[in-house]
Amino acid sequence: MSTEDNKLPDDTQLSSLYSQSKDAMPASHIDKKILAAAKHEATSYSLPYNPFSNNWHIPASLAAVVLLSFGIVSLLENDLNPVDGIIPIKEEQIESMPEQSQLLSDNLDSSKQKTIINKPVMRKPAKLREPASPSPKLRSGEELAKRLKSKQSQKRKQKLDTTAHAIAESSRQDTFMTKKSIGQEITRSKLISSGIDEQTTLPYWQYKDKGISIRFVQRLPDQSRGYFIARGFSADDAELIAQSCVFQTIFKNISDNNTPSAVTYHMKNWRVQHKDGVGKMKTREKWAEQWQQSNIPMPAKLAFNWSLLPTTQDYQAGDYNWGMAIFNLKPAQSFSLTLTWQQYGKQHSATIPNMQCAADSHAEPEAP
Amino acid sequence: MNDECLMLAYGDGDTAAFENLYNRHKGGIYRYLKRQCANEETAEELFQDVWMNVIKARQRYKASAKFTTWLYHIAHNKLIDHYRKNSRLPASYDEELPEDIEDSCSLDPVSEINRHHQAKKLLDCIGKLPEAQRESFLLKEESGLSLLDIAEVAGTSRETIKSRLRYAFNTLRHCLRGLL
Repeated sequence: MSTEDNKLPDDTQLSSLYSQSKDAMPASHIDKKILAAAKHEATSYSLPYNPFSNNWHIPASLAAVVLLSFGIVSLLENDLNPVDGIIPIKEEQIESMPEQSQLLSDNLDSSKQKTIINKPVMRKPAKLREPASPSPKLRSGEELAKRLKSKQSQKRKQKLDTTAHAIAESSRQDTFMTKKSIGQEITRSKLISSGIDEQTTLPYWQYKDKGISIRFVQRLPDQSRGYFIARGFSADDAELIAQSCVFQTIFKNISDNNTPSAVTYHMKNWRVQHKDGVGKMKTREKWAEQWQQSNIPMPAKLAFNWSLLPTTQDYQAGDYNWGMAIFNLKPAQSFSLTLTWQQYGKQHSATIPNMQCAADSHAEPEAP
Repeated sequence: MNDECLMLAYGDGDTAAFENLYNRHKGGIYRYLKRQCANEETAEELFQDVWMNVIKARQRYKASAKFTTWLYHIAHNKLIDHYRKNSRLPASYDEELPEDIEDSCSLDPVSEINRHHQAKKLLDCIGKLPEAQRESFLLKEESGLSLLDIAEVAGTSRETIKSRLRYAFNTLRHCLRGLL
Protein backbone atom coordinates (compact mmCIF):
# COMPACT_ATOMS: atom_id res chain seq x y z
CA MET A 1 0.00 0.00 0.00
CA SER A 2 1.64 3.26 -1.07
CA THR A 3 1.75 6.34 1.14
CA GLU A 4 -0.31 8.10 -1.51
CA ASP A 5 -3.10 5.57 -0.91
CA ASN A 6 -3.09 6.42 2.78
CA LYS A 7 -3.02 10.16 2.28
CA LEU A 8 -6.05 11.96 3.62
CA PRO A 9 -7.60 14.31 1.05
CA ASP A 10 -7.26 17.87 2.26
CA ASP A 11 -8.59 21.33 1.56
CA THR A 12 -6.41 23.76 3.49
CA GLN A 13 -8.69 26.72 2.91
CA LEU A 14 -11.71 24.93 4.36
CA SER A 15 -9.64 23.49 7.22
CA SER A 16 -8.34 26.92 8.09
CA LEU A 17 -11.85 28.37 8.05
CA TYR A 18 -13.18 25.47 10.11
CA SER A 19 -10.45 25.89 12.72
CA GLN A 20 -12.04 29.23 13.65
CA SER A 21 -15.05 27.30 14.94
CA LYS A 22 -13.07 25.06 17.25
CA ASP A 23 -13.96 27.07 20.33
CA ALA A 24 -17.18 25.18 21.11
CA MET A 25 -16.66 23.24 24.34
CA PRO A 26 -18.91 21.34 26.70
CA ALA A 27 -20.40 23.34 29.58
CA SER A 28 -18.36 23.40 32.78
CA HIS A 29 -21.07 21.55 34.75
CA ILE A 30 -20.67 18.63 32.33
CA ASP A 31 -16.90 18.65 32.84
CA LYS A 32 -17.44 18.50 36.59
CA LYS A 33 -19.98 15.72 36.30
CA ILE A 34 -17.73 13.54 34.14
CA LEU A 35 -14.61 14.12 36.20
CA ALA A 36 -16.54 13.34 39.38
CA ALA A 37 -17.83 10.11 37.81
CA ALA A 38 -14.29 9.17 36.78
CA LYS A 39 -13.01 9.79 40.28
CA HIS A 40 -15.86 7.89 41.87
CA GLU A 41 -15.33 4.91 39.56
CA ALA A 42 -11.60 4.81 40.23
CA THR A 43 -11.97 5.05 44.00
CA SER A 44 -14.92 2.71 44.35
CA TYR A 45 -12.82 -0.16 42.98
CA SER A 46 -9.98 0.47 45.36
CA LEU A 47 -12.11 0.25 48.52
CA PRO A 48 -11.46 -2.85 50.60
CA TYR A 49 -14.13 -5.47 50.27
CA ASN A 50 -16.74 -5.29 53.00
CA PRO A 51 -19.12 -8.23 53.11
CA PHE A 52 -21.68 -6.16 54.99
CA SER A 53 -21.76 -3.33 52.49
CA ASN A 54 -24.62 -2.82 50.07
CA ASN A 55 -22.69 -4.67 47.35
CA TRP A 56 -24.05 -8.01 48.54
CA HIS A 57 -25.75 -8.68 45.20
CA ILE A 58 -22.50 -9.51 43.32
CA PRO A 59 -21.37 -12.38 45.60
CA ALA A 60 -25.01 -13.48 45.89
CA SER A 61 -25.35 -13.62 42.09
CA LEU A 62 -22.07 -15.52 41.80
CA ALA A 63 -23.23 -18.04 44.39
CA ALA A 64 -26.54 -18.44 42.57
CA VAL A 65 -24.75 -18.98 39.25
CA VAL A 66 -22.45 -21.60 40.79
CA LEU A 67 -25.40 -23.41 42.40
CA LEU A 68 -27.47 -23.32 39.22
CA SER A 69 -24.53 -24.46 37.08
CA PHE A 70 -23.88 -27.33 39.46
CA GLY A 71 -27.53 -28.33 39.34
CA ILE A 72 -27.72 -28.18 35.55
CA VAL A 73 -24.47 -30.07 35.07
CA SER A 74 -25.70 -32.78 37.44
CA LEU A 75 -28.94 -33.05 35.52
CA LEU A 76 -27.11 -33.31 32.21
CA GLU A 77 -24.71 -35.89 33.53
CA ASN A 78 -27.50 -38.03 34.86
CA ASP A 79 -29.21 -37.64 31.52
CA LEU A 80 -32.56 -38.50 32.99
CA ASN A 81 -34.67 -35.61 31.82
CA PRO A 82 -34.64 -33.57 28.69
CA VAL A 83 -33.47 -30.04 29.26
CA ASP A 84 -35.25 -27.22 27.48
CA GLY A 85 -36.95 -29.61 25.14
CA ILE A 86 -33.68 -31.05 23.84
CA ILE A 87 -33.12 -34.73 24.16
CA PRO A 88 -29.46 -35.17 25.03
CA ILE A 89 -27.66 -37.69 22.87
CA LYS A 90 -26.03 -40.46 24.84
CA GLU A 91 -22.53 -41.61 24.09
CA GLU A 92 -23.94 -45.05 23.24
CA GLN A 93 -26.20 -43.42 20.66
CA ILE A 94 -23.25 -41.60 19.16
CA GLU A 95 -21.29 -44.81 18.96
CA SER A 96 -24.11 -46.52 17.13
CA MET A 97 -24.58 -43.75 14.56
CA PRO A 98 -23.59 -45.26 11.24
CA GLU A 99 -22.78 -41.91 9.65
CA GLN A 100 -20.13 -41.15 12.18
CA SER A 101 -18.08 -44.25 11.73
CA GLN A 102 -18.41 -43.87 7.98
CA LEU A 103 -17.28 -40.30 8.22
CA LEU A 104 -14.30 -41.27 10.26
CA SER A 105 -13.13 -43.70 7.69
CA ASP A 106 -14.34 -41.92 4.59
CA ASN A 107 -12.31 -38.84 5.20
CA LEU A 108 -15.35 -36.58 5.40
CA ASP A 109 -17.23 -37.25 2.24
CA SER A 110 -19.26 -34.08 1.74
CA SER A 111 -22.59 -35.70 1.03
CA LYS A 112 -22.37 -37.76 4.19
CA GLN A 113 -21.34 -34.83 6.26
CA LYS A 114 -24.38 -33.05 4.94
CA THR A 115 -26.62 -35.70 6.43
CA ILE A 116 -24.99 -35.33 9.80
CA ILE A 117 -24.80 -31.60 9.96
CA ASN A 118 -28.27 -31.02 8.69
CA LYS A 119 -29.98 -33.65 10.68
CA PRO A 120 -32.22 -31.27 12.61
CA VAL A 121 -31.93 -31.38 16.35
CA MET A 122 -35.61 -31.69 17.02
CA ARG A 123 -37.09 -29.68 19.81
CA LYS A 124 -39.50 -32.26 21.07
CA PRO A 125 -41.90 -31.52 23.88
CA ALA A 126 -40.32 -32.61 27.11
CA LYS A 127 -41.19 -36.23 27.78
CA LEU A 128 -40.58 -37.77 31.13
CA ARG A 129 -38.52 -40.88 30.67
CA GLU A 130 -38.46 -43.62 33.22
CA PRO A 131 -35.09 -43.85 34.88
CA ALA A 132 -33.32 -46.98 33.72
CA SER A 133 -33.72 -49.73 36.26
CA PRO A 134 -30.46 -50.81 37.80
CA SER A 135 -28.94 -54.01 36.55
CA PRO A 136 -29.67 -56.91 38.89
CA LYS A 137 -25.95 -57.64 38.92
CA LEU A 138 -25.23 -54.30 40.59
CA ARG A 139 -25.93 -54.30 44.25
CA SER A 140 -24.92 -50.80 45.30
CA GLY A 141 -24.67 -47.28 43.94
CA GLU A 142 -20.94 -47.34 44.58
CA GLU A 143 -20.51 -50.42 42.43
CA LEU A 144 -22.63 -48.84 39.71
CA ALA A 145 -20.48 -45.71 39.76
CA LYS A 146 -17.27 -47.78 39.56
CA ARG A 147 -18.48 -49.78 36.60
CA LEU A 148 -19.73 -46.71 34.84
CA LYS A 149 -16.41 -44.97 35.36
CA SER A 150 -14.45 -47.90 34.04
CA LYS A 151 -16.79 -48.24 31.04
CA GLN A 152 -16.47 -44.56 30.27
CA SER A 153 -12.70 -44.66 30.51
CA GLN A 154 -12.59 -47.63 28.10
CA LYS A 155 -14.82 -45.79 25.66
CA ARG A 156 -12.74 -42.64 25.93
CA LYS A 157 -9.61 -44.67 25.17
CA GLN A 158 -11.30 -46.32 22.19
CA LYS A 159 -12.47 -42.95 20.97
CA LEU A 160 -8.99 -41.47 21.28
CA ASP A 161 -7.58 -44.36 19.26
CA THR A 162 -10.25 -43.89 16.62
CA THR A 163 -9.64 -40.17 16.62
CA ALA A 164 -5.91 -40.58 16.19
CA HIS A 165 -6.60 -42.88 13.27
CA ALA A 166 -9.02 -40.36 11.83
CA ILE A 167 -6.49 -37.55 12.07
CA ALA A 168 -4.01 -39.61 10.12
CA GLU A 169 -6.66 -40.55 7.57
CA SER A 170 -7.97 -37.06 7.14
CA SER A 171 -4.73 -35.16 7.26
CA ARG A 172 -5.29 -33.92 3.74
CA GLN A 173 -8.49 -32.15 4.74
CA ASP A 174 -7.30 -31.61 8.28
CA THR A 175 -10.70 -32.44 9.68
CA PHE A 176 -12.13 -35.18 11.82
CA MET A 177 -15.25 -36.16 13.65
CA THR A 178 -15.48 -36.37 17.40
CA LYS A 179 -18.89 -35.83 18.95
CA LYS A 180 -22.34 -34.75 18.06
CA SER A 181 -24.27 -32.79 20.59
CA ILE A 182 -25.59 -29.28 21.01
CA GLY A 183 -22.84 -26.91 22.04
CA GLN A 184 -20.11 -29.38 21.24
CA GLU A 185 -18.01 -29.72 18.18
CA ILE A 186 -18.96 -32.33 15.66
CA THR A 187 -15.94 -31.82 13.48
CA ARG A 188 -12.65 -30.44 14.59
CA SER A 189 -9.26 -29.74 13.21
CA LYS A 190 -6.30 -27.68 14.18
CA LEU A 191 -7.86 -24.69 12.49
CA ILE A 192 -11.39 -25.52 11.41
CA SER A 193 -14.26 -26.65 13.55
CA SER A 194 -17.97 -27.00 13.17
CA GLY A 195 -20.86 -28.07 15.32
CA ILE A 196 -24.09 -26.84 16.77
CA ASP A 197 -24.08 -23.32 18.14
CA GLU A 198 -25.17 -23.27 21.77
CA GLN A 199 -27.28 -20.15 21.55
CA THR A 200 -29.06 -20.71 18.27
CA THR A 201 -28.94 -24.54 18.17
CA LEU A 202 -28.03 -24.14 14.51
CA PRO A 203 -24.89 -25.44 12.77
CA TYR A 204 -21.77 -23.32 12.75
CA TRP A 205 -18.38 -23.43 11.01
CA GLN A 206 -15.35 -21.73 12.46
CA TYR A 207 -11.81 -21.00 11.36
CA LYS A 208 -9.35 -20.08 14.09
CA ASP A 209 -5.67 -19.45 13.69
CA LYS A 210 -3.37 -17.52 15.97
CA GLY A 211 -4.20 -14.31 14.12
CA ILE A 212 -7.93 -14.47 13.42
CA SER A 213 -11.10 -16.22 14.36
CA ILE A 214 -14.16 -16.24 12.13
CA ARG A 215 -17.34 -18.08 12.91
CA PHE A 216 -20.31 -18.57 10.60
CA VAL A 217 -23.60 -19.59 12.20
CA GLN A 218 -26.51 -20.59 9.97
CA ARG A 219 -29.54 -18.33 9.94
CA LEU A 220 -32.85 -19.87 8.98
CA PRO A 221 -34.68 -18.26 6.05
CA ASP A 222 -37.59 -17.62 8.42
CA GLN A 223 -35.30 -15.67 10.73
CA SER A 224 -34.26 -13.45 7.84
CA ARG A 225 -37.84 -12.95 6.72
CA GLY A 226 -38.94 -11.93 10.22
CA TYR A 227 -35.91 -9.74 10.85
CA PHE A 228 -36.14 -7.73 7.64
CA ILE A 229 -39.93 -7.43 7.48
CA ALA A 230 -39.75 -5.97 11.01
CA ARG A 231 -37.31 -3.38 9.65
CA GLY A 232 -39.48 -2.12 6.84
CA PHE A 233 -38.86 -4.54 3.97
CA SER A 234 -41.80 -5.82 1.96
CA ALA A 235 -42.43 -9.56 2.11
CA ASP A 236 -41.11 -9.91 -1.45
CA ASP A 237 -37.86 -8.08 -0.74
CA ALA A 238 -37.34 -9.93 2.54
CA GLU A 239 -37.87 -13.15 0.60
CA LEU A 240 -34.98 -12.24 -1.71
CA ILE A 241 -32.68 -12.05 1.31
CA ALA A 242 -34.13 -15.15 2.95
CA GLN A 243 -33.47 -17.19 -0.19
CA SER A 244 -29.86 -16.02 -0.48
CA CYS A 245 -28.16 -18.10 2.24
CA VAL A 246 -27.48 -15.91 5.25
CA PHE A 247 -25.00 -16.63 8.02
CA GLN A 248 -24.43 -14.73 11.24
CA THR A 249 -20.71 -14.01 11.23
CA ILE A 250 -18.30 -13.02 13.98
CA PHE A 251 -14.81 -11.88 13.00
CA LYS A 252 -12.11 -11.34 15.64
CA ASN A 253 -8.49 -10.30 15.55
CA ILE A 254 -7.05 -12.69 18.13
CA SER A 255 -3.39 -11.79 17.70
CA ASP A 256 -2.06 -11.50 21.23
CA ASN A 257 -0.36 -8.66 23.03
CA ASN A 258 3.07 -10.11 22.34
CA THR A 259 2.63 -9.97 18.60
CA PRO A 260 -0.26 -7.57 18.00
CA SER A 261 -1.02 -7.05 14.38
CA ALA A 262 -3.82 -5.42 12.45
CA VAL A 263 -5.93 -7.62 10.21
CA THR A 264 -7.66 -6.52 7.04
CA TYR A 265 -10.06 -8.50 4.96
CA HIS A 266 -11.80 -7.70 1.69
CA MET A 267 -14.90 -9.81 1.30
CA LYS A 268 -14.80 -9.16 -2.44
CA ASN A 269 -11.77 -11.45 -2.60
CA TRP A 270 -13.50 -14.35 -0.87
CA ARG A 271 -14.57 -17.23 -3.07
CA VAL A 272 -17.62 -19.45 -2.72
CA GLN A 273 -17.16 -22.80 -4.42
CA HIS A 274 -20.28 -24.86 -5.06
CA LYS A 275 -21.44 -27.60 -7.41
CA ASP A 276 -22.19 -25.14 -10.22
CA GLY A 277 -18.91 -23.27 -10.07
CA VAL A 278 -17.23 -20.50 -8.13
CA GLY A 279 -18.99 -17.36 -7.00
CA LYS A 280 -18.55 -14.36 -4.75
CA MET A 281 -20.26 -13.12 -1.62
CA LYS A 282 -23.20 -10.80 -2.09
CA THR A 283 -21.89 -7.65 -0.42
CA ARG A 284 -23.61 -4.49 0.81
CA GLU A 285 -22.66 -2.76 -2.41
CA LYS A 286 -24.21 -5.48 -4.59
CA TRP A 287 -27.40 -5.31 -2.56
CA ALA A 288 -27.43 -1.50 -2.80
CA GLU A 289 -27.42 -1.85 -6.60
CA GLN A 290 -30.30 -4.29 -6.38
CA TRP A 291 -32.30 -2.10 -4.00
CA GLN A 292 -32.19 0.72 -6.52
CA GLN A 293 -34.71 -1.28 -8.54
CA SER A 294 -37.04 -1.64 -5.54
CA ASN A 295 -39.03 0.87 -3.60
CA ILE A 296 -37.44 0.15 -0.25
CA PRO A 297 -37.68 2.86 2.43
CA MET A 298 -34.35 4.45 3.25
CA PRO A 299 -34.46 3.49 6.98
CA ALA A 300 -34.93 -0.14 5.93
CA LYS A 301 -31.97 0.10 3.56
CA LEU A 302 -29.88 1.60 6.31
CA ALA A 303 -30.89 -1.10 8.79
CA PHE A 304 -29.94 -3.67 6.17
CA ASN A 305 -26.59 -2.02 5.61
CA TRP A 306 -25.75 -2.03 9.30
CA SER A 307 -26.90 -5.63 9.71
CA LEU A 308 -24.35 -6.94 7.23
CA LEU A 309 -20.72 -7.59 8.06
CA PRO A 310 -18.73 -4.77 6.45
CA THR A 311 -17.35 -5.65 3.02
CA THR A 312 -13.89 -4.60 4.08
CA GLN A 313 -12.58 -3.71 7.51
CA ASP A 314 -9.38 -3.29 9.50
CA TYR A 315 -9.14 -4.84 12.94
CA GLN A 316 -6.56 -3.98 15.57
CA ALA A 317 -5.50 -6.72 17.99
CA GLY A 318 -8.51 -7.57 20.15
CA ASP A 319 -11.06 -5.92 17.85
CA TYR A 320 -14.08 -7.83 16.70
CA ASN A 321 -17.25 -7.27 14.74
CA TRP A 322 -20.25 -9.26 13.76
CA GLY A 323 -22.94 -9.10 11.13
CA MET A 324 -24.66 -11.14 8.51
CA ALA A 325 -22.76 -12.60 5.58
CA ILE A 326 -24.79 -13.45 2.49
CA PHE A 327 -23.52 -16.09 0.10
CA ASN A 328 -25.91 -15.70 -2.83
CA LEU A 329 -26.77 -19.41 -2.78
CA LYS A 330 -30.00 -21.33 -2.44
CA PRO A 331 -31.28 -22.77 0.86
CA ALA A 332 -29.65 -26.08 1.80
CA GLN A 333 -26.92 -25.65 -0.83
CA SER A 334 -23.44 -26.94 0.06
CA PHE A 335 -20.31 -24.98 -0.60
CA SER A 336 -16.72 -24.35 0.41
CA LEU A 337 -15.59 -20.88 1.39
CA THR A 338 -12.10 -19.56 0.71
CA LEU A 339 -11.27 -16.63 2.95
CA THR A 340 -8.40 -14.23 2.43
CA TRP A 341 -7.01 -11.61 4.79
CA GLN A 342 -3.85 -9.63 5.37
CA GLN A 343 -1.89 -9.84 8.59
CA TYR A 344 1.71 -9.66 9.70
CA GLY A 345 2.34 -7.96 6.36
CA LYS A 346 1.28 -11.06 4.45
CA GLN A 347 -1.68 -12.30 2.52
CA HIS A 348 -3.29 -15.37 4.12
CA SER A 349 -6.01 -17.66 2.93
CA ALA A 350 -7.96 -20.62 4.26
CA THR A 351 -10.76 -22.79 2.97
CA ILE A 352 -13.63 -24.00 5.10
CA PRO A 353 -14.99 -27.06 3.31
CA ASN A 354 -18.48 -28.49 3.34
CA MET A 355 -20.41 -25.54 4.65
CA GLN A 356 -24.13 -25.59 4.15
CA CYS A 357 -26.88 -23.01 3.85
CA ALA A 358 -29.83 -23.47 6.18
CA ALA A 359 -32.71 -25.36 4.64
CA ASP A 360 -35.99 -23.54 4.10
CA SER A 361 -38.12 -26.11 5.85
CA HIS A 362 -40.40 -26.31 8.81
CA ALA A 363 -40.34 -29.12 11.32
CA GLU A 364 -43.48 -31.19 11.07
CA PRO A 365 -45.47 -31.17 14.29
CA GLU A 366 -45.44 -34.52 16.00
CA ALA A 367 -48.51 -36.67 15.68
CA PRO A 368 -50.57 -36.57 18.85
CA MET B 1 2.64 10.88 28.10
CA ASN B 2 0.60 9.53 25.20
CA ASP B 3 -3.13 8.82 25.34
CA GLU B 4 -2.72 5.07 25.65
CA CYS B 5 -0.43 5.39 28.68
CA LEU B 6 -2.81 7.87 30.29
CA MET B 7 -5.73 5.49 29.83
CA LEU B 8 -3.73 2.61 31.29
CA ALA B 9 -2.75 4.83 34.21
CA TYR B 10 -6.42 5.65 34.76
CA GLY B 11 -7.13 1.94 34.69
CA ASP B 12 -4.76 1.70 37.64
CA GLY B 13 -6.70 4.38 39.50
CA ASP B 14 -4.85 7.55 38.47
CA THR B 15 -7.68 10.08 38.12
CA ALA B 16 -5.28 12.88 37.13
CA ALA B 17 -4.42 10.84 34.04
CA PHE B 18 -8.09 10.72 33.14
CA GLU B 19 -8.44 14.47 33.61
CA ASN B 20 -5.53 15.02 31.28
CA LEU B 21 -7.05 12.68 28.70
CA TYR B 22 -10.45 14.31 29.04
CA ASN B 23 -9.04 17.79 28.54
CA ARG B 24 -7.21 16.64 25.41
CA HIS B 25 -10.25 15.20 23.70
CA LYS B 26 -13.35 16.81 25.16
CA GLY B 27 -13.49 19.60 22.57
CA GLY B 28 -13.10 17.37 19.54
CA ILE B 29 -15.62 14.80 20.70
CA TYR B 30 -18.10 17.48 21.76
CA ARG B 31 -17.95 19.29 18.41
CA TYR B 32 -18.05 16.00 16.50
CA LEU B 33 -21.32 15.13 18.27
CA LYS B 34 -22.82 18.62 18.36
CA ARG B 35 -22.36 19.24 14.67
CA GLN B 36 -24.02 15.98 13.77
CA CYS B 37 -26.98 16.20 16.13
CA ALA B 38 -27.94 19.81 15.52
CA ASN B 39 -29.41 19.69 19.01
CA GLU B 40 -27.24 20.82 21.87
CA GLU B 41 -29.07 18.87 24.56
CA THR B 42 -28.79 15.62 22.67
CA ALA B 43 -25.14 16.29 21.92
CA GLU B 44 -24.46 16.88 25.62
CA GLU B 45 -26.27 13.69 26.53
CA LEU B 46 -24.32 11.65 23.99
CA PHE B 47 -21.10 13.34 25.04
CA GLN B 48 -21.64 12.22 28.63
CA ASP B 49 -22.53 8.71 27.46
CA VAL B 50 -19.30 8.47 25.50
CA TRP B 51 -17.17 9.42 28.49
CA MET B 52 -19.15 7.19 30.83
CA ASN B 53 -18.34 4.32 28.47
CA VAL B 54 -14.66 5.22 28.65
CA ILE B 55 -14.83 5.35 32.45
CA LYS B 56 -16.59 2.00 32.69
CA ALA B 57 -14.14 0.37 30.31
CA ARG B 58 -11.07 1.62 32.17
CA GLN B 59 -10.02 -1.81 33.38
CA ARG B 60 -10.76 -3.57 30.11
CA TYR B 61 -8.85 -1.10 27.95
CA LYS B 62 -5.83 -2.54 26.13
CA ALA B 63 -3.22 -0.34 24.58
CA SER B 64 -3.20 -2.52 21.46
CA ALA B 65 -5.68 -0.12 19.88
CA LYS B 66 -5.07 3.58 19.44
CA PHE B 67 -7.00 5.49 22.10
CA THR B 68 -8.33 8.17 19.75
CA THR B 69 -9.65 5.58 17.30
CA TRP B 70 -11.34 3.75 20.14
CA LEU B 71 -12.81 6.96 21.57
CA TYR B 72 -14.25 8.15 18.26
CA HIS B 73 -15.52 4.66 17.58
CA ILE B 74 -17.56 4.87 20.78
CA ALA B 75 -18.85 8.31 19.76
CA HIS B 76 -19.75 7.03 16.29
CA ASN B 77 -21.66 4.09 17.79
CA LYS B 78 -23.50 6.40 20.20
CA LEU B 79 -24.65 8.52 17.28
CA ILE B 80 -25.87 5.52 15.32
CA ASP B 81 -27.73 4.22 18.39
CA HIS B 82 -29.28 7.65 18.82
CA TYR B 83 -30.43 7.74 15.20
CA ARG B 84 -31.94 4.30 15.53
CA LYS B 85 -33.65 5.01 18.83
CA ASN B 86 -35.28 8.13 17.53
CA SER B 87 -36.16 6.69 14.13
CA ARG B 88 -34.28 9.65 12.70
CA LEU B 89 -32.14 7.39 10.64
CA PRO B 90 -29.61 9.24 8.60
CA ALA B 91 -31.14 8.70 5.23
CA SER B 92 -28.04 9.78 3.42
CA TYR B 93 -25.61 7.69 5.40
CA ASP B 94 -24.62 5.49 2.55
CA GLU B 95 -25.22 8.05 -0.14
CA GLU B 96 -22.14 9.19 -1.96
CA LEU B 97 -23.82 11.70 -4.18
CA PRO B 98 -23.68 15.28 -3.02
CA GLU B 99 -26.95 16.97 -2.35
CA ASP B 100 -27.62 20.30 -3.91
CA ILE B 101 -27.58 22.55 -0.89
CA GLU B 102 -27.35 25.79 -2.79
CA ASP B 103 -30.81 26.98 -1.80
CA SER B 104 -30.37 26.39 1.88
CA CYS B 105 -26.98 28.07 1.90
CA SER B 106 -27.61 30.97 -0.38
CA LEU B 107 -25.05 33.63 0.39
CA ASP B 108 -25.09 37.32 0.37
CA PRO B 109 -21.50 38.35 -0.46
CA VAL B 110 -22.08 41.86 0.81
CA SER B 111 -22.93 40.88 4.38
CA GLU B 112 -20.58 37.89 4.53
CA ILE B 113 -17.39 39.87 4.44
CA ASN B 114 -15.41 38.78 7.42
CA ARG B 115 -13.94 35.46 8.39
CA HIS B 116 -16.16 35.18 11.42
CA HIS B 117 -19.20 35.17 9.24
CA GLN B 118 -17.51 32.87 6.78
CA ALA B 119 -16.81 30.40 9.57
CA LYS B 120 -20.39 30.63 10.75
CA LYS B 121 -21.62 30.04 7.24
CA LEU B 122 -19.28 27.09 6.91
CA LEU B 123 -20.95 25.51 9.95
CA ASP B 124 -24.35 26.03 8.32
CA CYS B 125 -23.07 24.36 5.17
CA ILE B 126 -21.59 21.48 7.19
CA GLY B 127 -25.00 21.03 8.81
CA LYS B 128 -26.55 20.55 5.40
CA LEU B 129 -24.10 17.88 4.24
CA PRO B 130 -25.27 14.27 3.97
CA GLU B 131 -24.49 12.55 7.29
CA ALA B 132 -21.75 10.27 6.00
CA GLN B 133 -19.89 13.14 4.35
CA ARG B 134 -20.38 15.35 7.39
CA GLU B 135 -19.02 12.65 9.68
CA SER B 136 -15.96 12.09 7.49
CA PHE B 137 -15.29 15.83 7.38
CA LEU B 138 -15.67 16.24 11.15
CA LEU B 139 -13.53 13.19 11.91
CA LYS B 140 -10.80 14.61 9.70
CA GLU B 141 -10.95 18.07 11.26
CA GLU B 142 -11.54 17.14 14.89
CA SER B 143 -9.91 13.81 15.61
CA GLY B 144 -6.52 14.14 13.95
CA LEU B 145 -6.86 10.51 12.91
CA SER B 146 -5.25 8.99 9.84
CA LEU B 147 -7.24 7.91 6.80
CA LEU B 148 -7.18 4.27 7.91
CA ASP B 149 -8.27 5.16 11.43
CA ILE B 150 -11.15 7.28 10.16
CA ALA B 151 -12.22 4.40 7.93
CA GLU B 152 -12.13 2.10 10.94
CA VAL B 153 -14.21 4.45 13.08
CA ALA B 154 -16.80 4.87 10.32
CA GLY B 155 -16.80 1.12 9.60
CA THR B 156 -15.93 1.49 5.95
CA SER B 157 -12.98 1.43 3.57
CA ARG B 158 -10.39 4.15 3.12
CA GLU B 159 -11.46 4.61 -0.50
CA THR B 160 -14.99 5.35 0.65
CA ILE B 161 -13.70 7.90 3.15
CA LYS B 162 -11.59 9.55 0.47
CA SER B 163 -14.58 9.75 -1.81
CA ARG B 164 -16.84 11.12 0.97
CA LEU B 165 -14.28 13.77 1.80
CA ARG B 166 -13.91 14.88 -1.82
CA TYR B 167 -17.66 15.18 -2.18
CA ALA B 168 -17.82 17.08 1.11
CA PHE B 169 -15.13 19.56 -0.01
CA ASN B 170 -16.87 20.14 -3.35
CA THR B 171 -20.25 20.63 -1.73
CA LEU B 172 -18.87 23.01 0.89
CA ARG B 173 -16.97 25.01 -1.71
CA HIS B 174 -20.12 25.20 -3.79
CA CYS B 175 -22.06 26.34 -0.74
CA LEU B 176 -19.44 28.98 0.11
CA ARG B 177 -18.85 30.14 -3.43
CA GLY B 178 -18.16 33.83 -3.65
CA LEU B 179 -16.70 33.84 -0.16
CA LEU B 180 -13.58 31.76 -0.58
